Amino acid sequence: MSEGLKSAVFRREREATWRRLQSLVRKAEEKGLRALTTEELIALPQLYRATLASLSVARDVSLDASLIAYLENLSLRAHLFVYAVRETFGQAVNGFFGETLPRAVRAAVAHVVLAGAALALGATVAYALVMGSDEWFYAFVPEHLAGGRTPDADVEHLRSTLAGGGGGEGGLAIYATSLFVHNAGIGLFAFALGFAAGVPTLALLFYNGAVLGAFIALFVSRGLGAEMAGWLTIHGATELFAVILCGAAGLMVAGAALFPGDRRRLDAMAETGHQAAVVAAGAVPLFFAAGLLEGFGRQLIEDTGTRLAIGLGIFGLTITYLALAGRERR
Amino acid sequence: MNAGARLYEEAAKTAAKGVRTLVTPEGAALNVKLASIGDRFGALVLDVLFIFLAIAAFGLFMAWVGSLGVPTLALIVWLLVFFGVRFFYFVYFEIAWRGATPGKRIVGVRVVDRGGAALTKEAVLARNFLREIELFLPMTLLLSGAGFGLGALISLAIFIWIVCLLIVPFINKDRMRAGDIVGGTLVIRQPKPILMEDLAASQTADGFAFTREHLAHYGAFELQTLEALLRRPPGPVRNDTMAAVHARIAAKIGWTRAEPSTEAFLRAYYRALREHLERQALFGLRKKHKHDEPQKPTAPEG
Repeated sequence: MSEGLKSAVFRREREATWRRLQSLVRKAEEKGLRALTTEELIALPQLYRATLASLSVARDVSLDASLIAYLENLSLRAHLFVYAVRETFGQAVNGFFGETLPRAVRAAVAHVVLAGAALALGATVAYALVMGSDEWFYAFVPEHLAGGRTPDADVEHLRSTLAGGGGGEGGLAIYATSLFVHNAGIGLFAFALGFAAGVPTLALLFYNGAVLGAFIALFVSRGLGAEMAGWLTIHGATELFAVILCGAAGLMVAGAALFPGDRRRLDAMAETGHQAAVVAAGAVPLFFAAGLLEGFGRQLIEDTGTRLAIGLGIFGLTITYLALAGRERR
Repeated sequence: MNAGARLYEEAAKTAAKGVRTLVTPEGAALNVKLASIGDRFGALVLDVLFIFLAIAAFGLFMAWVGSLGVPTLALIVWLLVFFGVRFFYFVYFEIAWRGATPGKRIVGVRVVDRGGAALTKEAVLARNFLREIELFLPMTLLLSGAGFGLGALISLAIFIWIVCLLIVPFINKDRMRAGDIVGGTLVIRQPKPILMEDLAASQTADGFAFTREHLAHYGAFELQTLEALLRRPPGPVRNDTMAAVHARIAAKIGWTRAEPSTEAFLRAYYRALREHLERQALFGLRKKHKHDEPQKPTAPEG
């Protein structure tokens, strides 16, 4: 008699598939995907698609609400396994540095240039103003950043701040680590600020550039330009580039929010946000390298030529890696 | 649409509140239940607690290591671990545990791609780096009092900005925070497994001869309401409700025969009604509820 009930027949024909998928999903939920055998791993997406097809049919022919709820529940639970992050954490890290990161940076060249320009503009403006009048220095550099390196200090004191030294080796290591933690935090902050239409990101870049420009002007005006260049370049080339990358990432998000083009604004932000996050994440190891260079390199190496060579060399390697790694083979 | 029908439409809409549809890459629509703000806040509190505990416990351990004669090394390792945990706790777990951190797992919520595709590591990175301004900056500001030694105006501006970010999940219907917007993700409730027996498969309509007239009064909504009633756990409330429903149905369809068992009648009527409605659906006549008058979609006009 129950032959007449179309949905019951439908269910009888397919129930075995559903039960098989159910047992696989339950196993994966309890013990993790790794507990599944190779055959089970191959079967999982097939069973998932068959169940999904059953769901579509059931929605059409069946008025059994609990059956539809069951199929929907099972499909969703399977979906969370079939369409989860597909890599292990190790593979994700590998793919990230091998392909994802350099490709994302290459695709974001325009934003990198824009972020760099904001920084350079800040530096130029502050440089010109401070060269014109020392008073401007105090406008750009807050007291705790200056640390005694002000226009009031005499040249010998300024020269001494450019030298290395300072503490035993232990002191340097702690210094380097805390620099890294601090700078990486600022960089990711610059990225996150992109969410606010990019204005705070540009302001942060401009302001960082201004502090830099003010310092350069101070030292150049005291005839310490060359030493300053060495002192700054050994870590600054890497660190500023990392700041610029983070800023560029923030600008990408802002750009997508302001000019979504023919995509929905939310879609545009999500799509661009993925690429931008990759660029910002790539800056983290750069900050780490810069922290080491600043904490150790700059303190232990005092020769300006060597400082310049190391700073520019590592910067060059970074650029080469970003420019060449992970290109599609032709 | 008459007033009664409108009522049904609204009931359906309320039932769908907090439910979103993911379209899988296969093109099937799956309904997911959004995690509530409370769920997500609970998960976040747990995760932040775990982060603090991990950092503190490791700090104690490193203090002990330091006391063995390598204080500098201990401090450096601790700083690096601090950084690693603070920035990558969420990223690591959302990749390795497929969208769930320990806090999320305990609460029973999960991150999924908004478009129904696979969750990518880029999405996980994006949604978690945004925590810098949503979570860690406000926490830093709170812990350090006035902020970064900034002027009152800037502090106020930052405060307003943070408040704006914190209300983002409350003002969009998908309860997305800023990180979810940039990451293209949703946070949903982890579905709990269900399996229920098919009511109709286990019973027959033997002894009940319902005619088309008997079955023409109700639609899918009433059928499923009846199904929900029959699935309720046994008890006096269920029995009373069934008796009342029996009386109403009998009055409406004109079933005058006295039934010894209310439940047997309702089960038989459920089965017969479902068979009737499913057959009608094959002809394109879908009666959604009792006020609905379905038209044949392909019926020629005039």
